[in-house]
Amino acid sequence: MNGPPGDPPQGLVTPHDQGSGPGDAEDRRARALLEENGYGTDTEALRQTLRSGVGILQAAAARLLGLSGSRAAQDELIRLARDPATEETARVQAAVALARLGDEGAAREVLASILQLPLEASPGPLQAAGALAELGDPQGFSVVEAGLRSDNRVIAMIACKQLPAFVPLDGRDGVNVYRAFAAALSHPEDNVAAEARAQLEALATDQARSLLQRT
Amino acid sequence: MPSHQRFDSSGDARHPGPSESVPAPPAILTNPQESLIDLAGASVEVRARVMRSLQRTWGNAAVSQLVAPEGANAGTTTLRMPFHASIRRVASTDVRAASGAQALVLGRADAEPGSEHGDELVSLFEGIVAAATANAPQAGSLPGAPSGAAASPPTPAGTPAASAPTPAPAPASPPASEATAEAPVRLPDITIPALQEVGKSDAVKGTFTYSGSIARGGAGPSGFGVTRSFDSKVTGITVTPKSGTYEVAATLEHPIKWQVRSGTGPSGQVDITSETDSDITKTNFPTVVSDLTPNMSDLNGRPPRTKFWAEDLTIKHEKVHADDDHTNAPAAMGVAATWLNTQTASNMVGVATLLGGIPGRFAAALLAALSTEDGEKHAYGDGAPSYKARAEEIKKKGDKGDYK
Repeated sequence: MNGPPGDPPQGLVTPHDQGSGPGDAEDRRARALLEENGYGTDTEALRQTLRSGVGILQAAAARLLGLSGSRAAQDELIRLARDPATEETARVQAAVALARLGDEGAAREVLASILQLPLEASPGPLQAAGALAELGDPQGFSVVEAGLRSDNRVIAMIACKQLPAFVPLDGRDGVNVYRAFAAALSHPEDNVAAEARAQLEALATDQARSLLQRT
Repeated sequence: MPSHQRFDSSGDARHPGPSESVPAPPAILTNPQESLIDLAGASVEVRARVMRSLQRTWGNAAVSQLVAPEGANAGTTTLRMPFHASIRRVASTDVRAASGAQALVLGRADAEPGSEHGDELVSLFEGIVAAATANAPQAGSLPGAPSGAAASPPTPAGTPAASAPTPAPAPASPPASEATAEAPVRLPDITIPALQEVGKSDAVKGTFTYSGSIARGGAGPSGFGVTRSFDSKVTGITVTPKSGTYEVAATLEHPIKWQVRSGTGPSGQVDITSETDSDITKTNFPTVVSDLTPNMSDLNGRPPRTKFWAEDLTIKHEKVHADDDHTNAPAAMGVAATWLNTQTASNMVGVATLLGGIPGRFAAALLAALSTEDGEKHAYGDGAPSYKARAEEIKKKGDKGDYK
């Protein structure tokens, strides 16, 4: 197993593969990132990686610690989630882990604060919007819509990736997720539109099919 | 050229009048070298307090530059702002306590954690004094100047330190231990010329040039192939202190590397380079065909590759990933640069620390932008026709009995 490098990521494999194992797609992607790069995924190894100082590794470790259900790292997750010096992507995943471990209050507080950060300066606000939506909180929907309007293809792509989380909230508090999907489908960046198509195909709802037929 | 303002106090402190804006005169310095030398003799607490005052009023960036002033001032407007202050006289132990208490609460909000309370300021102060007094003909002393912790700080809180906070005529108190009469004592102007050249705030403004490349390299993969897109480094960095900002220009080097196995697959799969590959036989060709036929239900065309694989087509696949990451990279860099532009720094070290965060943030943005499934579908879909064509050619030859 590699030791946490503590430096900017060098030589890390990009996990293009969707990964495998328990949990959702994000869990599997997190596992793929760690495993493909030789990092352990048992609780102690994840706790060690949580202290690596490398945001993408911390985020993956936090994600899997939340999936594990183990509270062994709860205090570390709280510290990471609340640390403004930590990359927001890691803070979001630490908050998601806290929510999975039952501390929804702390998770919501952190996610709501990250939601207020500048939209284009980090994936964090958009990811926080998606994470809040998964907790049943639609407050980040306007942030996601703003992200879809971004000229930055990365920001727009990250925004698009949050849309499925809002599907169960459609119609609540101004959430119109299919309007947002329509915006994503017509996005000038092909990869954003393609991502939206893939998500709608996976949703397979009447509205999703209708949207796909129109494009 | 940014315009800098210098603040002098040369009016009648007892009769403050409206501020006066006049064209730039030469700096009015009674004896700056002596002033600085005298400050150098002050206690750590006093020096730290001076530096905090400088920071509050001029900004950390300004203070950090004092040891390396540059260029001549131009387009300067001098505002003469009379002021009158009363400084409470207390016993020296009380002053020390007050100073210490102040140090605990007056750090700038943008100071680095752990460096808010003096050490860095004292170091900077030593640098300022060293620079300013390097050519001093002799060390002077201020008439009636206090010394030690009991000294009144030479820079009043809340006023620009570069300004001469000394009123003219200057009514000032003698040292507490000596002050028995109410006769005014004149002190020389206190000014730090280097401060005339530096800005006030500490924002960071970064402009990055993206320099990406795609090449085969790096460690062998555990699977068939691998792409490494997270490496990056910030090179060619220049930091230009401007009024209110550190302007950063740099290049983000982003060497994307892909690697595939050579010859044999991860489970001993045999490489099939074409339909004429000598490894294809009349008995194994159906398996070769099956292994190289894209499975459209698996990530838009991932071939099974149980016994056979195609190195050249795997290379093509990894190049699709590399190209995708290369396409996304400038936008990911834009995210990291935008983050940098929301930051502030206390000094050059702070700027360097922020720049150290760029590769990690770049990687985070790049990873976050990876498509969920579509990217992999895209990569396999892109290669599916090639796999399909090869499988069909092999089947055609096999069906004709061309393999031995």
